[in-house]
Amino acid sequence: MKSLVITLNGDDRSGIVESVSRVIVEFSGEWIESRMANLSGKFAGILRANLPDDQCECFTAALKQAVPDLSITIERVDSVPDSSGQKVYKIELLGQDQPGIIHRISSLLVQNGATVEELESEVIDASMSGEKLFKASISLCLEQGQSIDKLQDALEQLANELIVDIELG
Amino acid sequence: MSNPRLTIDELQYSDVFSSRHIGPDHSEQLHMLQQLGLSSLDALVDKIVPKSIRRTDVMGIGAALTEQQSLATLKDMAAKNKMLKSYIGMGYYNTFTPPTIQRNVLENPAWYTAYTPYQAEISQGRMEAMINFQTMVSDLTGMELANASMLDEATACAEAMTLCQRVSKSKGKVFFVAQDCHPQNIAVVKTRANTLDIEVVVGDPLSDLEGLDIFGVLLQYPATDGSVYDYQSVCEQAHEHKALVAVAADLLSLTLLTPPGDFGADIAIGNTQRFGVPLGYGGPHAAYLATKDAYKRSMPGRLIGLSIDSAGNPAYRLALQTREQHIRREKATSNICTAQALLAVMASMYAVYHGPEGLRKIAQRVNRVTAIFAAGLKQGGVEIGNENYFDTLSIKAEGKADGYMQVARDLGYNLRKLDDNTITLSFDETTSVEDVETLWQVFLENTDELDADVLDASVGNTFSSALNRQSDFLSNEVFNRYHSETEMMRYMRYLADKDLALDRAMIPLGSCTMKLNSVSELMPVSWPEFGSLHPYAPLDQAQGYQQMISELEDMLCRATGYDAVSLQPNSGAQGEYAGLLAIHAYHESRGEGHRDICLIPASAHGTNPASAQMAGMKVVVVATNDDGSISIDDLKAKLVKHSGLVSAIMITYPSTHGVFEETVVEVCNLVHKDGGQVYIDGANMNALVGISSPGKFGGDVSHLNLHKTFAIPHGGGGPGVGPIGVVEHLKPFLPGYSGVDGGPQHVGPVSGAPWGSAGVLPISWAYIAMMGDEGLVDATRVAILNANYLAHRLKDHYPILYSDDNGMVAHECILDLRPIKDETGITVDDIAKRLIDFGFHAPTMSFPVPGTLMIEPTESESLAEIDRFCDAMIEIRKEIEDVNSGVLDKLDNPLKNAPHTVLEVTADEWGHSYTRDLAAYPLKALRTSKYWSPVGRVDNVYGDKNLVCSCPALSEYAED
Repeated sequence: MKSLVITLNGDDRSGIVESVSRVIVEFSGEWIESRMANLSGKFAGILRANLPDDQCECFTAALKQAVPDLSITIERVDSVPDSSGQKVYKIELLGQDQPGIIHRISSLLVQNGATVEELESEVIDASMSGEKLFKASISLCLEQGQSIDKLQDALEQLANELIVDIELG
Repeated sequence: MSNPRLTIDELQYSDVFSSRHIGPDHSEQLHMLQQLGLSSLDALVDKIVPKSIRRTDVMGIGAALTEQQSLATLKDMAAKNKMLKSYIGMGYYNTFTPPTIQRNVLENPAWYTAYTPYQAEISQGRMEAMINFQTMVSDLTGMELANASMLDEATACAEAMTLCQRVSKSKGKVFFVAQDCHPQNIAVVKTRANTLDIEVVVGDPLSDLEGLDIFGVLLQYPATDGSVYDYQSVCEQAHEHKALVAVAADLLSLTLLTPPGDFGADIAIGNTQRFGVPLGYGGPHAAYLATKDAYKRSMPGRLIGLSIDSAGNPAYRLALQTREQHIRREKATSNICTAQALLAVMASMYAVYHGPEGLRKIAQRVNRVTAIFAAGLKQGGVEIGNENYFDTLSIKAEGKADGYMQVARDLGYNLRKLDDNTITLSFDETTSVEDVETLWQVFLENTDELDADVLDASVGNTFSSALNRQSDFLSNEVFNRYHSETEMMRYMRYLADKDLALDRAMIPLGSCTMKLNSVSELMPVSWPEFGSLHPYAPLDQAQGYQQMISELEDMLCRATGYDAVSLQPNSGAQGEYAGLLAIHAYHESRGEGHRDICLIPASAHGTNPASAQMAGMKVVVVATNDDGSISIDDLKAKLVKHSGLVSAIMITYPSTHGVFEETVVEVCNLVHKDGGQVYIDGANMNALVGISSPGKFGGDVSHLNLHKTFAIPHGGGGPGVGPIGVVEHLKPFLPGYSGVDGGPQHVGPVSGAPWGSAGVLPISWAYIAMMGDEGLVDATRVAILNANYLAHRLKDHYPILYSDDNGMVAHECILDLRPIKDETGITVDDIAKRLIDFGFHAPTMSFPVPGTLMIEPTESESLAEIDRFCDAMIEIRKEIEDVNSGVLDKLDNPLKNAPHTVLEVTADEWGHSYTRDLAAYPLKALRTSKYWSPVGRVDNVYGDKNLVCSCPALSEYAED
């Protein structure tokens, strides 16, 4: 079996996931893991599937035919990095929305030796006062020797008004 | 037109209060019903309220009293309270409320009918008063910032404990409480610690700290027996353990004593009652919490901050709201919501009126009478237990304590019996030399030799000179400018004029029930017979209060269908907490203490999950269906998943989506079947009184917001009163009492005073008595009628998000503005701020659904006022259409730029693409009566980025 990482994006419509999964099944493949999202009518997805060695090329052609409206990239991955030994932290951030906040947070994560596994964010209207709030949920791993307390302090200092909750995930 | 001839009896009582309280008269109600295609209020209720929850019996409140009858009945009750002078202390002292503050704040609807200042622009006046409060507290305590405000000193101590735990780097589980803290503070801290896995150790902080794994320490300064200790070494020792020190400090003493911030404390808390707020048999009073800047994100409670408006001018706003329950839910720093804003304003005005010199003089006078009294006793051979004191003496009574107490009572004074051998007396600003001379007679057989003037000349410092306050306080101009009554009166008027309260316009806040707070309900609050009673006065002196409390408890039982009521919780959130403690204790009593799951629908008020967290429960969210109702499927799934572990479900009824859900009985049954208890949040009780009883359709416990349904005013964010009603099996688990005998035993007290904010309970008593059975039912029916009429008028202009199968809403409705935003870019915020230009407070924003407005007109608003509001909303909709069609610019339009200030509209330059006329007078009627926002739109981001929580210097206001 070969491991493929497939990314898909384009206009959202019903049936995308169904079409993709059907093709995988047709080629005796296995859907391993995926992240899919719809933002303002646009669909984006990334998924990892295992397929029999000899089927990969035909599979690519079939997939493009099944979802011709999406742009697709497919990459083979020979080995999946083993992250089982690493601690995963889940960080919840909540604060006033402001321009450039994601960039500032991600730069700070890099400086503190954190690798982002997953990042979900949204801007919501706060109840009662109606102010704009930035809300993010980040799963990350820390490089060896980096301290989570230091990261928390750094995040809280980044913006006075940012509230940072950290849970070991 | 001929009128039927009335009898003299009918004529005498013809002024029916309910017709004053309820806005629309009979013919207006008929008109509104016709618009809805209905013929009567009965038909309306039949159509909307599910049969399965309807009550058919009469509540049994009785016939309505007139305003005069109610006042006379309460006056008779008040007369049963004995007005002895109470020198009991324990954080509660006699005080002189400056009459100008009593009349211009406490008794002024511009202050007491205002709402919590979420809408910053129309709340600038009260926020200035509250930032004065914060400045007063941080100055006097020597801390970097203070909030505005806490519910009482005892709950503030409990909040200080959890703040210590959040910010301390110590991993310890022990919270050390000094044994000489006020007993009610210790009791409430213990209650709170019980569900949070915190061990409370009570002992002597000067000797017992060593060897304990502490994360925090609580001290009382001065101590409950009056002693004044230097706690610097305690702070140093605690800090060595990485623990924090919280000090419950008496603000008045801090004008003379070294403040906690100066001797190393991390947190200061306390009561501000003695700054001109009547005792009221325990409350309401504003407590405070002050701390270091470094801990601001972990602080509980409301914090006012300085920001700027759209023109760059200074403007106040609620700061750091991301800490609070309405945003962070179970992760909030506290469940505190409604606090004690009105009382905080009063206390701050007391400081403004007296200024630093005046306050110091009051403190010196209190201290001097104490010293003269002590010197007299010493001369007479009586031993004083505490060498160092400010206002409280501990007198050795050697087995004669009861005798002394009796003699004192006979002379008209209540003292405090600390134990059989010790009496304490706390003096206050009302104490005269004559009082001192009379009190000598309690302890001395012969007082002829004692001369107060001679003793006055001889007494010196009453505490170590090392504890003399060195730092300045209240140097800001606001505390040094308004010392004449004329200036003071104008300052209070100047602030009140900036704000929108119910005395100007309808406040259509969904879930907040901003109904009439009638003057006849409020008048008794100012009577000294209710105002001047100490919370721990002997019960036989409080017979009037006890009668009123017991009658009110009975009325609330009748209104809710519950079997017992506790009036102790002093806010709705406290009520939730007390209700959950009752549930937890009940499970424990049956050997099921392991039940720790609290099911909460996604749409719940933020205090629900925050209270559940405080009560030691784990929050599990139950999904809601697309129509806003609780998902029965998801509830069943959660009950299976957590079978045997569910402690309670917390539901709101009618739901926070403003709909009477048909399935509520099924929800209750499902949870009961699994052994869980049902908590019904009474926030929406205004839609139920007289037509349905939560205690009968499945609830085991509910809190009521007396400040919503039962007419206690909101006071700009408190006082609130949040009594809980329980069914029979939970009765033993109501909160216990501190400071007086009796009361339930299983659960500790949740507030310092046994009956919470007793001083404002006459308001709800009067409301219920003056409405009577019929009036209360009418109020409920008209509240539902008003909401449905309003929804009917607006539905063609804005989509109504949730309604029942018949297209009807309960007592409030939600306008869905998300499609408008997607289409035009106009947001909830733009509409809310544009409403200010029309003279209205915005409805509730983005709760329970982001991107919506929730409107609750209440029964008190007339047809004319509801129409005026609808006209404004419809006009705003037209403006949105103009933006959409290009008549108005997409960015430079009156919605995006709202609110418009008079400065902006009258400036020589006008840079907008629409007219000044449209900006200021979008409706003709506004030309004759116009509210001007004092500031432009407030910048929230700037305020939190540049946090300033004390009074700005005048230079902040200087023109460039």
